[in-house]
Amino acid sequence: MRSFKKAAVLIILVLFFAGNALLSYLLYPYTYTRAMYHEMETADYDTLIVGGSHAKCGIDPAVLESAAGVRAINAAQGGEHSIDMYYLVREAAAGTDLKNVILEIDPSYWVARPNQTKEYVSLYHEFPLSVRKAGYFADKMLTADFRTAPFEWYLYRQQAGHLPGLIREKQSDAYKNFDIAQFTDEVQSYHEDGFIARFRVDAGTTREDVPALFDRGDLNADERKYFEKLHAFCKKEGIALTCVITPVPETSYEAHRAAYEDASAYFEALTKEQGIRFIDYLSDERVPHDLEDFCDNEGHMFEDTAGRFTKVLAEDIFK
Amino acid sequence: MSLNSLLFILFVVLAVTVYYLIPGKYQWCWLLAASYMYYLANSRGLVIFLIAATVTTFFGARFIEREADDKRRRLIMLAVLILNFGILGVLKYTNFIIFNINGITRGSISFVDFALPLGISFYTFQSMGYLLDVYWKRQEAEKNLFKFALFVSFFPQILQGPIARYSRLAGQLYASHRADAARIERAILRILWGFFKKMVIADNALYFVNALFDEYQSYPGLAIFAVLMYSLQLYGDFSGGIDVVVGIGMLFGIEMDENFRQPYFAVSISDFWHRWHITLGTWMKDYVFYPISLSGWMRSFKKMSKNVFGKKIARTLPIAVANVIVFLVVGVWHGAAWKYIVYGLYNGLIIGISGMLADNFRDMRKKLKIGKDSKPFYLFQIVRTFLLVNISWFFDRADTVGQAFSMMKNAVTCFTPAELLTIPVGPGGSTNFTLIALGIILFGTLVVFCVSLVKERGTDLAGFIMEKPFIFRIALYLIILMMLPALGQPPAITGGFIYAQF
Repeated sequence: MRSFKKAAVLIILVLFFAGNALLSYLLYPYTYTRAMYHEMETADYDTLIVGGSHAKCGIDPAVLESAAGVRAINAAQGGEHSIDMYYLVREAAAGTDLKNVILEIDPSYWVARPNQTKEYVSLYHEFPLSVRKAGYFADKMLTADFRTAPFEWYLYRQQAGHLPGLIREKQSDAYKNFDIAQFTDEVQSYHEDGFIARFRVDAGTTREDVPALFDRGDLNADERKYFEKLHAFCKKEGIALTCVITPVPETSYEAHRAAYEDASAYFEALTKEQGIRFIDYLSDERVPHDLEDFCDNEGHMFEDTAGRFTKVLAEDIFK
Repeated sequence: MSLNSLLFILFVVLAVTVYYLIPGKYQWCWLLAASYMYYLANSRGLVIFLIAATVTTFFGARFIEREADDKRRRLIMLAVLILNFGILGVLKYTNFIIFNINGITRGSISFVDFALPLGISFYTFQSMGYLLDVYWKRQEAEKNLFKFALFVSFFPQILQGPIARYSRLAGQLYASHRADAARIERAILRILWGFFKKMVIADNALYFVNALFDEYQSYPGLAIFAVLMYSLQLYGDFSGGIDVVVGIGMLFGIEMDENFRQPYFAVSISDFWHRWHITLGTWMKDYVFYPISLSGWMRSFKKMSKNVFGKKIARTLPIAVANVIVFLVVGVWHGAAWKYIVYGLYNGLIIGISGMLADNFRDMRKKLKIGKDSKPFYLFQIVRTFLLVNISWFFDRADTVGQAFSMMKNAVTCFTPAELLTIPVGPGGSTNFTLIALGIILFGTLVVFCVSLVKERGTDLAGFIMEKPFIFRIALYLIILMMLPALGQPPAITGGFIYAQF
């Protein structure tokens, strides 16, 4: 009787853990973050682009290569904060001879606590298993809601309705081979090098989007902490670090001039203090600022705008 | 380090493990170390305020105990009270005062950017209660500064209470405890139950509360749902948080005071405050209500009332006035805004007037031949109290008093329930999950209602569960644990516990 009870408890526990693992496997979708890490592990590159969504669709590695001869991967992503950039750079440096890091600073990311959304966990979730991941876990996931790490499916539970499709996806060759075709639609195209090309189509993005504004009073200390750690790491490894602020539409800049100017002043002083190369394109006339060149007021560039911008960036950094 | 962070849970596991590994006589030292580690991790330099409250109260109480001269005792007591409530007042209410001065004088005095130390309202009330107990000779002063520091800083409760009494908590804190599997299991059940209330009910209701209060002009026909959702959110959030805190205390073998006792089953507002945030209510009763009621000026007021209004009114009027003052303080405690003052006055006036009209109500009930213990009358009282409480929640949650009144008006003049399905729920701002979220809230509320009903009838539900076979229990715990990610909302939208900011 006693051994039966023990066995029953054991079965319940096994069922619980197996069910949890199964849910994580089933509900966690195939995202371009997974494809990006695969590319980072397998490709031959010397330049890594990190930052937020502005860099994701604003800095085109293909243009960098043709203009400056560097082989780059765009590892930027919406919701990518300094802590993620730090671990991405460390991961890249462990697997390749990394020479350059282009770090896009989105001033709005420095004034808010990172939201614990899908983006918050995806970079950690897909991070290759290593000692670095343990550090990433300790630095990022420990302070997160206790459900986030043990129940990896939890932020994706609303996908339960798409379960048959998700199962099919997990069994497909596309998933196994890190195929990226499914990340292209009528609005955007995901490139193997991590760049997202935004097409000049009406994606339903409202032009009323107001960018989150920079405010020194709301600075998040963690952003600076990991920014400085990233800089120290690059210095130690002999990696050239360049920080950039990507352009925004002129209309947005004019509407919030004080906040943008303060952001420029703050990051100029910070990078100067740290001895980091800093290029501010917020009011640089050589790059596009026309609202029509962006798909929203925040500053997400269309593909051709990104091409023009990246060309200038390549010249500034590498020539 | 929020109560629902993985770090906090690991911190508790570590703290409990070490607690039971070290000799009993040193357990309280470890608790003190853990409490200060927790506070430093959260508030860093602001720990100075906690230390200031601890040191001034400790030495103040020691002086009061040693001092024979009543005048000097009183002076020391007042000095420590003014210093500690002064710090609380300056940090919490300066901007409110500036706002009102600017409003009256049309001035433009700049607001001050004070960082509020974690749990300042809770530890200030707790330590001042101890000081007054020593002053009134109800309590001997603690001789060990570090032991007293533990009473003020005990980490599970510092975030959102309950506001403890020295006589009930200190002995437990300093005693040695042995690990007891049954107690620890009970504690885990309590913690899981707290998270269930917070994550399944409160965090889902928050979407509706935020949308309906923040855009109340867009949803005039949903004002009634706004306040009902808020009543669920607030209860789930606050009582859930307290369950977690009490459960953590139990892990250390410490039984903290209960802060909730099925508040929505209250039969009057007065009864409600004996069931909701109980430790604040009893603190107010002992340290504000009684001193006011028994004060010289209240006796004079009673005398004057007798001359002006007659014997009958003179019996109840001073109590009513004392209640209004108490709830005014409760309102101010809740926050630095006029809406909280109105919230406090509303509660105080209802309790005060109810007390004064108690005889009339009794006569009316007799005339209508309604039995005092009749079930329909009991249900009527519960519904009536629930309505009155919900009216007060308008003031608590709305941004301004004007908004509260506007929403109250909407609640009785406009009703378009179908619009509820147009409220976006979920990180993407989609309405695809609105119905599901409503279903989850309904499910969670039904579970809490049934549990409350059983508890209201005096059944020890946790005890009942503990008697079940271990297989059943472990399955139940795992089901509750699984519900937290399956049915709860992510913290990106929900944020922390409401009362953690007090």
